[in-house]
Amino acid sequence: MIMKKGRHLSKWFERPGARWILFSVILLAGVSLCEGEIRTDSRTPYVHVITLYDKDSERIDHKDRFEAKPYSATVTCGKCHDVEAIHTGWHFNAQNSNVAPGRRGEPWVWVDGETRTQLPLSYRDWPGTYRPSEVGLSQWEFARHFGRHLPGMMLSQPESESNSEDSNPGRWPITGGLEDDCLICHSGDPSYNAGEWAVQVEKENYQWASVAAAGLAVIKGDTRKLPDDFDPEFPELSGPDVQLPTTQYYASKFDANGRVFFDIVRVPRDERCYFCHTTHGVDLNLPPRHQEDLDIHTRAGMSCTDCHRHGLDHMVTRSYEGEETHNDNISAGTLTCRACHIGQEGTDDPFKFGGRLGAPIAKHEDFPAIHFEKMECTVCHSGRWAQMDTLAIQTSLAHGLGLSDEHRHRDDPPYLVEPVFLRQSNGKIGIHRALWPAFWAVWEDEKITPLPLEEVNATLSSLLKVPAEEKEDSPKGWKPITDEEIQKALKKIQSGLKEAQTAVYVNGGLAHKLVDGKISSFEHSSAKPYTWSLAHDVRGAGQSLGIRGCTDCHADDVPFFFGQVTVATPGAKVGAKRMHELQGDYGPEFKKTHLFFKIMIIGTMVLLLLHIGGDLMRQALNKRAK
Amino acid sequence: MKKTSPSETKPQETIKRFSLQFRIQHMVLASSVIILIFTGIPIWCFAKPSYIWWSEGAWWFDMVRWLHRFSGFALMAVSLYHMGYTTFTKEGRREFFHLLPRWKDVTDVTFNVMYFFGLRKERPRFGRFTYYEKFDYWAVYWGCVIMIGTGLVFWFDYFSAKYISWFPYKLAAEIHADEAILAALSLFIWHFYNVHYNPKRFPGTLLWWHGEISKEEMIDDHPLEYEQMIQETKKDEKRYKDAKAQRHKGA
Repeated sequence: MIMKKGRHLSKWFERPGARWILFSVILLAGVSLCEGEIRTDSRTPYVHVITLYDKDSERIDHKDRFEAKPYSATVTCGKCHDVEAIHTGWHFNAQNSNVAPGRRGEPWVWVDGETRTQLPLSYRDWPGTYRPSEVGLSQWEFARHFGRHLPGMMLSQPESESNSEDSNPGRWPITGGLEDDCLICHSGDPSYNAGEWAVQVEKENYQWASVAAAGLAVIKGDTRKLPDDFDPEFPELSGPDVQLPTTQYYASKFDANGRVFFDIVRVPRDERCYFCHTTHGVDLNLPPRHQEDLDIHTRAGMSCTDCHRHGLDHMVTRSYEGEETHNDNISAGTLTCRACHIGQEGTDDPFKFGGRLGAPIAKHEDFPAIHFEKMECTVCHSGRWAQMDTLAIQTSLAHGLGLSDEHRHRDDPPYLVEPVFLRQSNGKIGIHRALWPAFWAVWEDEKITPLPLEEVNATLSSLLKVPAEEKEDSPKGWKPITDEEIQKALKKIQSGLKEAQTAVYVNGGLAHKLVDGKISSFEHSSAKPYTWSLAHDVRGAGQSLGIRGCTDCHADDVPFFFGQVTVATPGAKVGAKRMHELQGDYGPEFKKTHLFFKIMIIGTMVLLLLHIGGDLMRQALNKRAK
Repeated sequence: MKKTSPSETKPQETIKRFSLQFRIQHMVLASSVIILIFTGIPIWCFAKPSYIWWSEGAWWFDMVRWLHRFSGFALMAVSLYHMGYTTFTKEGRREFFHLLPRWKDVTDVTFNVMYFFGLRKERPRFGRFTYYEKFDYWAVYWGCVIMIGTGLVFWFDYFSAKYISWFPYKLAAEIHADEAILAALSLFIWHFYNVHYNPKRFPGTLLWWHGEISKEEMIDDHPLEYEQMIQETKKDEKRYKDAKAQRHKGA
């Protein structure tokens, strides 16, 4: 039977076209295997001399100086790499509500000088932040304001969950989408210019941001100047000389076959991370920059990705305790401070033995073990040395660090401070950065909801406008808001609200409303600072909290409990709260004790003085009677 | 009864009120508390971060700190001694018994206040210790317990930090400062009025030094004690006479 089958098969191959069919099948199988799966499986980096493609997967004709399209990093890289899997990564998945948000992180901050607003925003639903859609920000507007420090996020192709929230489709057809740009992290070429990405984003040339940042072309044009009804398919309908930006590729970047060499690194260099993840101390009490030491890990020769690593899915390990409950990444939980520097007893997982990457094992001799239960490692080892007043800082995300700006000022909002020692949701004390929100809102049923930002600006900017002559005195035109201005603004907002709603202004750690025409301030959870953990720069043992003894923390008037957390919001008088007030622990008991003694002192002294007075009075009267 | 005050044309009769032990305890208490107050104030004020640049490391500030601790030690010592005195000595137990608050003290306060306002013609009649003297004693008792307890938490801060958390530690600081304020005010206003500023006694009595009180003062301020003393003297005299008579009979 088998011999019969074999003869049958050989006869099939003899048929015309059969070999071609077989060849095509093999070819297709090969291509399907190649697509998204080209690997070298070597530590030697693959030399990327590749063809560029645009978003429609058309090959880039770099010689066409007028019609050439901008290259699409997603499509180009997607020829060999599984970009869909990559897009699920931490830097790109903020809009995916199926992704566990994990520990609170740094928010985006909406800043409006005219209305004295600084509002933390995030797509990740971290408590204390607001979704952009909640305050009337479409994804397109979000990209316009914050795209300068976004790695893409494919904001023109939102997830279906957030699609329903986004009523304004924006000008995506004109600007193109803000696609994930792999080179933001994986370019080893020092000429890759993330600043140029920001420049193009500012011009709303989203589709052109990647090619400009990579230094492959000159972009001429500005989509901001194009009308809303501009149709890229039929540009002539909008009039002569109205066209999309042109992409003029540098011929020197292309070889004879029209391919480009990309200096790609598998492990991103720290400088790439720093563009978005830099914190700069601007407090006057800080030493100059050259006096600051870098993170001890960096000094030891480690890179960011040694701890913050991931696989193809790009789910970056954030390396905090308990992350493994939020993150499927196999590295989660194995690259924390504790895992490397202390290790886990009784484990069979070699990644949890401790001493990984040469990490010294921390013995903490004569140190009560209770501290490890009550506090995170970062409390003692991270951030700048705490002083009695918190320190003002600026960050890349909030202040656009990494972009050259001759007008950047140390007092520019938003106002961020560190370090703030607070108890976290896991019950441990951690070290944080803080932002005190300031925004106009509606108070209804004990809940404060911020008003749409554009609406607030339209309603109040003329009322609260800072005169041009006064703008020079305040950084970026910010001027302290007066009670009178707050009253007027609240009145104006109230006139447009329903009866059950009350206009409020959250500022300076309190919410303010009008009661009989006067401002009444009250505490509310919405006015509390938004805080997120900090972990860098890490200080070594010799500079950790407690190195001078227990009294670094266990003493009267030390920053840990009694440091003053600056309450800085745009336009308000700068106030302060004690660390222990924000920690929320024992505050009421403390106040009660203090009140008890106050009453006792005053009450006792009043009684005694009355007694003395009575005695003197009686003696005087007796003397008179004699 | 002993005669003293030679400056008087007619020698004033005096009565021994306080023993040497009692007076020594009072002197140590008084001096230690006054030093504690005057050294505590700069520690409280100048250890704050705003002033620490001035005080920290300064030789005088360290001296102040050590003086405060030394006086605290003296206060602890006299407190412990007093507890032993009131427990293990007959005299101490008797004094302690007299110092215990009674219902009479409540009525004395009421009647005295009524006397101040002219609602009673005469002052209440006090025993060995008036109600305000008892108040002084128990206020010091309360103060010592609190000040020594909270002070030790700070003196041995490394030890404390191992066993107590932040809340008791900081509370100790707050209580120490608040109680110190109360003690200082009570001392310099209330106690000093009773022994120095009172027009009846101005510029003050030396009772705390020699332990003797004049007969007039005794009758005026502690009539019940005086009467009791007379009665006991009479009883003693009668006993003496009876014993003498017995001896004569025996002989």
